[in-house]
Amino acid sequence: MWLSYALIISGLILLLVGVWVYGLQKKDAYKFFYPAIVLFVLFSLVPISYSVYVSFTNLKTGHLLERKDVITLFENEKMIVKDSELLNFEIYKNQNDFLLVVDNLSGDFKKDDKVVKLGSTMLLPKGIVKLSKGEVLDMEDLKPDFKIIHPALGEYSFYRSDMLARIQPRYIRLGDGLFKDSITGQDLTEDKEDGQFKLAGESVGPGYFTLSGLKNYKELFFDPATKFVFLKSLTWTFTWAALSVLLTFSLGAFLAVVLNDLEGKSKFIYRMVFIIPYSIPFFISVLIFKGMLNKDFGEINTWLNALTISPVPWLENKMWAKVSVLMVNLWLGFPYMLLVITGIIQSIPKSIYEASSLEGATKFQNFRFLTFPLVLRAMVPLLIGSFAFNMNNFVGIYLLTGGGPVIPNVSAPIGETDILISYTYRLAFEGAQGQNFGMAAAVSMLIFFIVVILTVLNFRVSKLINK
Amino acid sequence: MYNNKKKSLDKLLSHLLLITIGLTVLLPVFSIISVSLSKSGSLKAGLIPEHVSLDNWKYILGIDYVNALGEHVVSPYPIMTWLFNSLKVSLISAFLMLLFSTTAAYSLSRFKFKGKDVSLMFLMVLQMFPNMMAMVAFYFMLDFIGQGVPAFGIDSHGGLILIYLGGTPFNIWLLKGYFDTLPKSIEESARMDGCTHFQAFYKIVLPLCVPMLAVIGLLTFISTFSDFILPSILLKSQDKMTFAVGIQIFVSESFASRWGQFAAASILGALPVSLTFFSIHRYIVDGLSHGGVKG
Repeated sequence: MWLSYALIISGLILLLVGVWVYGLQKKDAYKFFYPAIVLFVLFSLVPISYSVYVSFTNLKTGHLLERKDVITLFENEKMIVKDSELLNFEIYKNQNDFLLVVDNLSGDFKKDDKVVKLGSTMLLPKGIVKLSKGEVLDMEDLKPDFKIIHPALGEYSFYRSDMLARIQPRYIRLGDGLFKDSITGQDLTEDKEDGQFKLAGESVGPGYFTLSGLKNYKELFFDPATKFVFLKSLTWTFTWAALSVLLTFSLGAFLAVVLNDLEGKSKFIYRMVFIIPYSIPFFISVLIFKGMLNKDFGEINTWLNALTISPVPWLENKMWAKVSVLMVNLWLGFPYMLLVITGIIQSIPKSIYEASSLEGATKFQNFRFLTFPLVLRAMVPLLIGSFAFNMNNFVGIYLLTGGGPVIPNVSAPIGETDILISYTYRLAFEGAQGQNFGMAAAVSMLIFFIVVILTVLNFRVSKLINK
Repeated sequence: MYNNKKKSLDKLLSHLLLITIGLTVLLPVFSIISVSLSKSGSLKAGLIPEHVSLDNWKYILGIDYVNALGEHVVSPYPIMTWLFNSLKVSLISAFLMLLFSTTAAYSLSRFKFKGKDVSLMFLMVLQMFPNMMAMVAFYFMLDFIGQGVPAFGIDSHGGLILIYLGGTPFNIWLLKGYFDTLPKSIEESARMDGCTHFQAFYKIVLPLCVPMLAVIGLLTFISTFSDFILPSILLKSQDKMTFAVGIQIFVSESFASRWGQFAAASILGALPVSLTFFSIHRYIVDGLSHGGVKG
């Protein structure tokens, strides 16, 4: 498989490079740099390139096997010969000996392993243990060709975990990937693009995974049902990230300005209180809010109830769910903005305020025409960074709403508050119709492109500002 | 006179406002502390519990206690193991990451070598790619590695740590910036005295950087401890889970009946990170304005 080759080949190359770096060359620079290279290549570069590769395949539930494995499955598919007797059997273990006990023996069998009739169970030696179903299955895997031969009836082999029967292959091999079904007499057809064998138009057996070209991307942009949820989620991802940045920035900037005017101890205490949310791991705070926002038991509805406000379906209604994720994210995120903006305000020289107050400027004018533009200018790169962070803020969405509530009449694993990254996660690891790794990888590629664009933008803007 | 009055009114108003916001910030925190000390298993405890009880704390610490029905209860969930797992994984990751990124950052900051510019470009692009986006790849990669070396496969802490180590580019970037600020003369004098480059690095530069390294290490610790997505994909069995994944499953199964126990667990789980955070928050503030860190 692609991944194993990539890992093994890059491992070998790294090994050779390692020998060169530490054994043959003299430059310290490479000796210092090498360990990190190993990590990049194995745990960044290979996975990223594998993601790119998977996004062009049909890797998903039902298409996880390789083609040759599927063919082996067809070759091994057995069916009972017409009129074959079905014999029950049990296997006993006595130290290293196995004893096969077969029901309904109507004649002598050639003894391969020891075989006795079922009626003689009572006479079995002491200390012998019957194998469980699972162990019997393991035995069958170990000895797929095990046979006992009946002189008149022929060969009997394992059939399922509890029977012996006369069996024959179901599919007759005609060539590489060419089979004839011995029941219907028809040939199997192979849909190479889909990675699926078919019999009279119907899929048979598991599919295999194969390169499917741009199929995943085409589906995202052109298949009406998928396009609908994808664009919906894309829009919400941008809305969510933009509103999160706007809200946290506004509150953070406001508090930073107000706090900056205070003096003494109270300023310090307020600041300490305000950064508490930032000190708690986000996943814990979000889960706490999930409980507090519970419609029936949550504290927030209890408090509202005390104010005679009827319970609000915070996480169940699509509008309220969006309000909830944004409010919780505001709680989580404003301390960051507060900290950063405080730093910026403190770095503004006091003299410019003195100058403006000589001109008779009010506090508000100072803020409007001095503080705010200066802060905003310094903040632009950080705001873009924060936008990119929130675009991928999985915990803030997934742990609170699980992506829900469900969108009516949509079968894709996506809800009203799902952002692209949680959509990716659900496609790959949660979908009700199985796991669609190929599609998940395609969505994460698109996220990557957006992140790259944002980062490039960020550089441009930072450079402009520094000029 | 009038002006003074207006000023103090302004002050009063801004204090009122700040106190209101402060309370909104503190409300969930107080409420969780109160719930963790309450007896009833319900979500409602008020801001001060009626009967203070340590049952929830005993539950999460795995100590047996007698519940309201007179039954002995011991938690069947290995909550302390989850916490221990999280601490283990994040401390080891933070340490290894420092180890690997320090030398690389030093090399990028101090040496001129062929391929340096390419490496820098490469780093830039790689650190843009949040590693959770490659989640599908990580899953299959560990699956493959696990067939040969189970200690680094799916459902192993070794595997999870390997994946975290892939996040070194970001740390290298931070550390390189720091090394750039150190004057070269420090090692040059040592080199004059006959030290090798490695000795100079190890004996002179590293000791100077201990505070900075500690801060970066602790930041890595915080972000690894708080990660949810990767452990939730890569860890399967209950006793291997990290705190984030375990506690999410624990409370999601039944918010109503496990709220008190969850409250106690979340306080305990938040403590290592919160304490670390407040111990280095000055450095974090400095680091924040240079970009990076969560936000």
